[in-house]
Amino acid sequence: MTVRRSAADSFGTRLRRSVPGYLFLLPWLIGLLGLTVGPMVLSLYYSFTDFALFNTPSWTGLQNYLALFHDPRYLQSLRVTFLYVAISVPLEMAFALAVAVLLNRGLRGLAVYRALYYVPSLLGGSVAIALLWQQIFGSDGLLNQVLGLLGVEGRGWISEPETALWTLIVLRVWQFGAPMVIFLAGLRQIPDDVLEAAAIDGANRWQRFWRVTLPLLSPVVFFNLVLQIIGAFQAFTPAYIISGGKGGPSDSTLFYTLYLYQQAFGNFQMGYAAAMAWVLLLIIAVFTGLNFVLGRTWVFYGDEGVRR
Amino acid sequence: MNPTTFSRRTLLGLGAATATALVLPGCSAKSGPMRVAWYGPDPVTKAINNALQAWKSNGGAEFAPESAPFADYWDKLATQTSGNNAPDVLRMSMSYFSDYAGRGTLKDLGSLGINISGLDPEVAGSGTVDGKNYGIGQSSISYAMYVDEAAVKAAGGSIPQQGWTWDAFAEFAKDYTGSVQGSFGSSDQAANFQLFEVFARQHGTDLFAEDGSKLTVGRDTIQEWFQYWADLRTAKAAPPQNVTGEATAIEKSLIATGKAPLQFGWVQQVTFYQPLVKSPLTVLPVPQGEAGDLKGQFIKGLDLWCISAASKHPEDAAKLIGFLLNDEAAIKAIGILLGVPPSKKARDLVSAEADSAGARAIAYVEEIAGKVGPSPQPWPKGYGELLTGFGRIAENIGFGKATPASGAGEFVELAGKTLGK
Repeated sequence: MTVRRSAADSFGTRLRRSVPGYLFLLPWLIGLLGLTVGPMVLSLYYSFTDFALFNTPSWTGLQNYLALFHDPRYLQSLRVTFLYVAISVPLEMAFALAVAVLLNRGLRGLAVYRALYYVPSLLGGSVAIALLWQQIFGSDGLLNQVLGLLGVEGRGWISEPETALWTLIVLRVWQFGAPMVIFLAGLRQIPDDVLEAAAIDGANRWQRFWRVTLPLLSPVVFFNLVLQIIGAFQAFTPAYIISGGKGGPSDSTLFYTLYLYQQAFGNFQMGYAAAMAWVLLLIIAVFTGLNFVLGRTWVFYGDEGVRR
Repeated sequence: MNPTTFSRRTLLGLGAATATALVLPGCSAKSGPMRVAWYGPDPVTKAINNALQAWKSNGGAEFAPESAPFADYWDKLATQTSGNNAPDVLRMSMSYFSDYAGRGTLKDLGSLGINISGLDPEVAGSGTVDGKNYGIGQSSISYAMYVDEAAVKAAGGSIPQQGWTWDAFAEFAKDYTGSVQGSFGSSDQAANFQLFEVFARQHGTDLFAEDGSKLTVGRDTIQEWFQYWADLRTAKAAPPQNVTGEATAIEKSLIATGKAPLQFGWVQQVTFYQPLVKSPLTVLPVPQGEAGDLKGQFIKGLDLWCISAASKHPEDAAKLIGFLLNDEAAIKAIGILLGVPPSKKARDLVSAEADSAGARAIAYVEEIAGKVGPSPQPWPKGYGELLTGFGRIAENIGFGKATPASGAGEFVELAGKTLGK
């Protein structure tokens, strides 16, 4: 039978034809509705109530949202998270790009290196690595032992509020493998003839990178940037494990999601936590939107090349 | 029909089956074996597992054990309870008891016939709220300090029979510091809300009003407490904040690493530290305002066995609790890991092991029993939040991000927001 799409098909016929399709979709649909959309709608509702896990929620309007801005720990969690995003994302991206460019120069055993650098991204968010980090940066840890050999006196990197967040930033930058692999794929797409032409015109390696490679790579940079910013805003596990769930020392690693978790499951303030979750969604949406708007000024897609 | 191709009907059937399989686990009634949950470090988990083995070999009903460290346990229990999926038998701490009992998540044990005839009445009734018994005390416990007497003697110090006064303790700690390279006279207890409760009672007030609606301890007392430990840190009698931050786990505690000669905690916890310290730990009352006046301390059942309101096995659960409290094999397996056993029979069974840390803990509680003050009311709803808040504020002071005065103010404010909701 040939598939015929015609306006003459009645609604009933089309519906009957699509039933098997929806049946195949059913498992996924149930998941989407039951595990994603349903809880989201509920959480939006809870964010306007005083839901405290065991009580019957009653409507409190915008109270949770307004309370956020008078909560010093909430503001601290915002500060910590923004600092984390602002520092770790550019560092991670730069690192990933630099390594990708190095690896792209036709090294022997490229696959091995690629895998090697990618491994931290697979492990990085895990509990085991967070525990390892604790060992490395503890005051009797590996880092201080190495520093000791060099005659430098270390400190309790994780147990002091001045440095604790930096250990988490290092942990994130160390996971540069995922954006690196994407960069590498992007670099492979850049045609050699363009670069050769530039070389013949007298552009040195540095100029070729800035004038040719980077603009052609900009859609990939953009893609990585959007993903990494979203990921960094949502960071949770490392801070949870390394600070023992507290966000300490002295709230210096109190990530947004960690404070949300504390309010929800430590203090049972589900309504408040739900409000926090929606504000985070809003923040991420704003950042992503901003990215797309600003992206127009620096992201270069090949197909618009003629017009520019 | 070709048998290797799926007919339309088979496919539809498969789809329906898949969908059903996905939906069913979500709504079917849970009818597995009775679940038993508790918190505590490894030794506690081993002990309770042994007691549960005794239950099993006595022909007790089937069960599934769940255990977790203290902090994780509460995250998990909160989630399970809100999902109507709480364990049947659960260990409950006084820190969260009012949160759970006050929200109707625990069963009234009154009609379930658990044998509590041999139990000390105060412990048996420590879970009673408005005439309903939501939990049976597992033990009676009191706050204490454990001192490595050999280390103190080696440093040329001595231990007063009834413990120190706060002033004498500060002197002792200053003198001890530096007697051994890199050591401190005391660990920093500024963040210890439970030791602070004793301190507050020594200053004449309980922490909370009887009905739990507000803080009764004065702001000046809180400030004095934070100042006391700030002074010890300044004098290097207690370690700087970053050292304290890394010494929270039992095996990393200063007493376990030989950096301090003493540790504070609930009396039974001496059995967690003893294996890590070579010489025997002496169990002492915590420092006092006036020498020998132990009115600030109290003896109370602070950990309870409870049955969740949603339990599908209340009878078996009640039988198991009765077994854990009364059976000889269970009592011996648990020892004093949950605290000093709540009945005379159990105490005699456990202290039979002469000169164990457990026997010393029991002797300590018996010794101070006539001297302590009256027990406070069950800790109020929101206690858990205050417990962590107090620690956080103390930490801020330790790092110089707050002063004892501003920290005391912050705590009073937090209590105002948290209590009486």
